Parts: sequence; structure tokens; C-alpha cells
Amino acid sequence: MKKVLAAIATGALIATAFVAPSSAATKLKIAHIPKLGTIGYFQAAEVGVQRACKELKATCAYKGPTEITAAAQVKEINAAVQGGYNVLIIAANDKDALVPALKAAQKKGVTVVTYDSDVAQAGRSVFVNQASSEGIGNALADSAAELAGGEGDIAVLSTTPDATNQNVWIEFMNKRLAAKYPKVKVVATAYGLDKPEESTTETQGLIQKNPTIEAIVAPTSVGIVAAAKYVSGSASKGKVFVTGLGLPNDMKTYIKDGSGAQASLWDVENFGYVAVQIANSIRNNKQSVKVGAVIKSAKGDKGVKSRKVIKGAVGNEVLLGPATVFTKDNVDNYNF
Amino acid sequence: MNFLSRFKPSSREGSLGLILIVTIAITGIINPRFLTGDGTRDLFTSTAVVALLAIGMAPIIIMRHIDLSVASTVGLTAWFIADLCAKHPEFTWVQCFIIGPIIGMVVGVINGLLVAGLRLPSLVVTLGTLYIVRGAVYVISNSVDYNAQEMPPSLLDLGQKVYFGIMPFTFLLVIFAMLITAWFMKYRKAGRDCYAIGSNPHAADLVGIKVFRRTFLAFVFSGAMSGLAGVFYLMRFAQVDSTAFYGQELAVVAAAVIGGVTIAGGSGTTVGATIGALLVQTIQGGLAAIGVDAFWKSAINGLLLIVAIYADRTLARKSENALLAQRIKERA
Repeated sequence: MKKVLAAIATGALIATAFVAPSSAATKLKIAHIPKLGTIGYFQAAEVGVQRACKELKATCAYKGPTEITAAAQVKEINAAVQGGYNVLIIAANDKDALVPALKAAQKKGVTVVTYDSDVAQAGRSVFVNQASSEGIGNALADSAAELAGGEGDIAVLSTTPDATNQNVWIEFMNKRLAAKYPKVKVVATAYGLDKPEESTTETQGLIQKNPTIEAIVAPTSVGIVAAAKYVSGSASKGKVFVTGLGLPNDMKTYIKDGSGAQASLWDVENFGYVAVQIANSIRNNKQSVKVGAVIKSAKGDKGVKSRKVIKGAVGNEVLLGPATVFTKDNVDNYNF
Repeated sequence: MNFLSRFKPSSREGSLGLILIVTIAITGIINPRFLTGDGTRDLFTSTAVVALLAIGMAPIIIMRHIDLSVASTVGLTAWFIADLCAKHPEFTWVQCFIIGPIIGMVVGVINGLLVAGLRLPSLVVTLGTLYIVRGAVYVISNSVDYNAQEMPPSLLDLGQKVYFGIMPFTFLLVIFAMLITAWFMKYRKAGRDCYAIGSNPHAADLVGIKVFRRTFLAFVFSGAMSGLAGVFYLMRFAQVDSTAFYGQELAVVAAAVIGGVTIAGGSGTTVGATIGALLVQTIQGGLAAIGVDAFWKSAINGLLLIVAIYADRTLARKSENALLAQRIKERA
């Protein structure tokens, strides 16, 4: 009897040993390498990485470099590969400098997914991009129109006249305003050079010169804080509302202090989550990431149901989804 | 006549005040909202940091030196205090007001020792510390920035505090600092020594003026004011990263020079420096209120500086001629 049991046990062991490699080198061991360990933004993404890891029962480690350089990231990459990690989630500090290390990692069977900042195509399977410019422009327009009450004058506080990102976002915002909120008019644009000093002076100037404006849209994380800080301490509080692109933690004070500010950004926590889930799909579900393929979202995805792989600036990429607008009702749910 | 001649030395400040009022009036006519309570309050609030630095810089320029490290010191102090406050939520405005000037004084002591002790040219020394201090901020900060959330509410409330509807707490402190230093520079021996050193450093040394001590202390004082200005920076903007106040040192020199503190040394007052700062900010704010964009503003600022120096030269030559004429008359 004992012998029989032993035989069965041995058989089972052998079976597992045989089954294991085919059903999975599945045990995921994920290293998340942000641009820098100490930045709140990436710590928020790490929360999402952990959430995905729990769902996938994977081992996860946050390998934040202590300085914001490509060299520091190369060190982390090599250490992770030697440590037996089989998935790298990276926000790159340099487009090209990481590629040799990442290529070597991929040769050893490691899956590489970039998010937030990409590397050259050869260094990764796919890039998860934050949000389309159109998505950001739409969020800005929606928020501004809401703050202005559906009609009235608004102004824009940008960085410099030739800032590419800002100009593209503003263009998409204007398109959305024209299509959806024809009664909202942009009457002035000022440039705060992404410095608190100039941004504050320009906000004062905008309000003094255009007494009719009801909202100021600042698609810059420095400008939006400067504008909100100024409005919150001035006689315009409650009459002029500030919105734009900003981190919820930076803006929390002004979103909640009665000056009614709002801010938009992509959901950074979900960003980390999505990057891990896509890496999992590639590794375990043989998901194709060729341009045109469609990746179904995982259960816990807070964004969209599925994502199509598109051709981005560098190569194949997927978009995280639409931007989130932070208001006094939801801002406490976000911590980044 | 006696009364008039006593009035004369400060007439530079008088005429500056007049220019300031005319500038404000012109902006007010073009855009009446500039003169509302909010507009005046904004003018004072936005001048406070630069005015404080100009007051600290005035004695140094009077002694024929310069301190280019002030803006970096503001950045260092602002970031450091925000970092301390984030790690010690129990901190209030009191700790900030104590720690700020101390950090600034450390930089001031280094500048002072190098300039007064080793007799190195202050332009080069403080250009060096400008980069060293800014570099230190980059390294220490490690790209971390701070916002209103992490700062003591009592400090931010103080930054919003306004008396009589137009006078912010920070500018009240500026006026206080201005009056004390103006009194000191005019009536204390140490203050008068500064003018003597600036007029002729060699002669000042020969007559037994403590050139080392005066120069050293002037840099320490400027450092302390820069530290306090760092606190003001937080109170005003409630956000700070490693680039805070980057490149603003020349705005401070400009304010002092426009305010009649002669770059060649030997003359000028802290009252003038303060009015100079107000004038620069009025024009900045005025141009924004009229709707001129930021790039033109810096060009116009530069033009203003050149005009001010030209006026300075002309006035100096005139008073030199007048003095000469008077001396000839007395001899005759």
C-alpha cells in the first residue's frame, strides 16, 4: 500500500515537473524601474503595479534609481536580469542609452514594456503612452466649459509660445470647444515660461486686462499651481476658476479650499496597472503587439475595455485612455 | 538754503518716488483695474522678495562689491525649508523664519571669507557660489518638489495676510528692514564706513577702517536676507523645486541700480533700492496688465536698466561739477 502511494506521489511529482514548463515559465517576476525612485508620480504608478501583481500572483519589486540618469537605470536593468526577473516595466530616462542593456535582457527571455517615456523600438515589446493629445485637449475643454458654466469668456495660461506639447493640447481644446461648447470663447493667451514668478504675474495681468473671464486654463503643472494659488488669495476667488494639467496632490489645496479649481491628468495608478497587465498578456497569453492588434483589458482596469496597438512616434504603442478630471468630489481618491 | 542742501542728498530717492508714482498713474489710466485694492496688494506682494534682496545687496554694492549668489541662496533656502516642513509636520512659520536666515548666513559666511579674507574679487567668488549653491540644490533635492500640501498652513496664512486691504505682511517686514538698514547706514559709524570703503577702499584701509570686518559682515547680512527671501518665496508661491528663483540675481542688481545704488560704489541707500524694486515690479505688472507678453517684458527691463545707469552717470557728473564749483568758490 505504502509503495503504491509512493508511486502515485512520484508520478504526480514527475507530472508536475513535466507540466510546469509548458503551462508556465508563468511565474512572473516583475521589476518596475521608474525614472527616479523618490518622485510621487512614479510611486503612484507603483501602487498600480502592485495591484496588478496581486491579481496575477506575481512577485514584484520597485527598483527606483537614486538619480535620474540612464546610467543608473542600466545598473538596475542588469541587476534585475541577474536577479532572475523576467518582466521589466520601465519609464526610460533616455531613448537610446538603455537599448543595449534592454536588448541583452530580451535575448535572455525577459519581456520589456515601457511606459510614460519610451525607448527605441528595439529595446521593448510595446510602449504604453499616457493619453492622446486629443484626450488631454478634450479634458481641458470639458473642465473649462464646466467651470465657466457652459458659456462665457476663458483665458489660457501656457508656458512659452513655441512649446510643442502645450500648443497641440490647446489646439485640441479649441477644436472641442468649437464643436461642443460654441458659447465658450478663449479671449486671451498669456505665457508664464513655466516659472512661478512669471506665471503669477501673467495670471494677475490676465484677470486685470480681461475682467470678463470666468476660467483660466493652464496646461502646465507649474502654471496651474501658480494661477490657482494667486486666485485663491485674491478678490477673484469664486469668480475666476482655474483648471489645466496638474497632479492631484499639487492641486488638492486649491481644489478643496473653495476656489473651485480643477485639474486633469491621466490616472497614474492605472498606468502602472495597465503596463503590468499588458506585459502579462504578452508573456502568458501570447498576445500580439503588432500595430493593429487589439489587447483586451484586464478585470481591474479603471480605464477602457480594450486597447488597439497603434503606430506611435517611435514604434508600436497603446494609449492608456482618456484623461481624468480631478474635482473636489474625487480628488481624495488619488494620491500622486 | 541750509534746509534745501540738507534735503539734497536724499533727492535721488525723492525723484525716484516721483517716477514710481507717475508710472503707476500711467498704468492706472490705461487699465484702471491695476489700481484697485487687489492690484496694489499684488504690487507689494510681488515686490517683497526682490526688495528684500535689494536691501541686502545695497551695502555690498555701496562697498564696490556684488553678490550674485542671492538667487541660488533663495532657491536653496526655499527648498530646504519646504523639505524640513514636509518631514516635520509640527513646524510652523516660526521655525521657517528662524531656519531660513541661518541657511542664508552660511552661504554669506562663505562668500564673506572668500571675498574679505582671501581678497578675491566678489564678482568671481559669488559667480562661483551661484553655481555651487544651485548645484547643491539640484543634488540635495533629487528632483523632488513640494507644494502647498506639504507646507505649514500657518506660514501660508501669513503669506496671505493683508493689512488695511493693501499692505501684505511680507512687505511690512520689507519696510521694517528698509528703515532699520537706512538708519544704520546713515547714522552708525559702521554704516558710514561702508560708504568710505566704496568711495576709496585703499584710503579707507589707511585711515584705519576695518575693511575686512565690514565687508565680511555685509556678505553675511546679504546671506541672511536671501534666506529670509527664501521663506518669502514659499509664502508667495507655495511651490518649490530645484529651479526656484533661477536666474533672478540680475533682477536684484537691476532693482538696486535703478534705485540709485551706484555700481561704482560709494553712494546709494536701501530706501532707493526698495523704490527701485517697486519700480521694476510696477513696470512688469503694468506690462502684463496691458497685455504685453513675457518676452518683451525682459527686453523692456533691460532698456530700463540702461536708462537708469545713464541717469545715474549724468546725475553723478552734475553733482561732481557742482561740488567742484562750490569748492572753487569757497577757496576764492
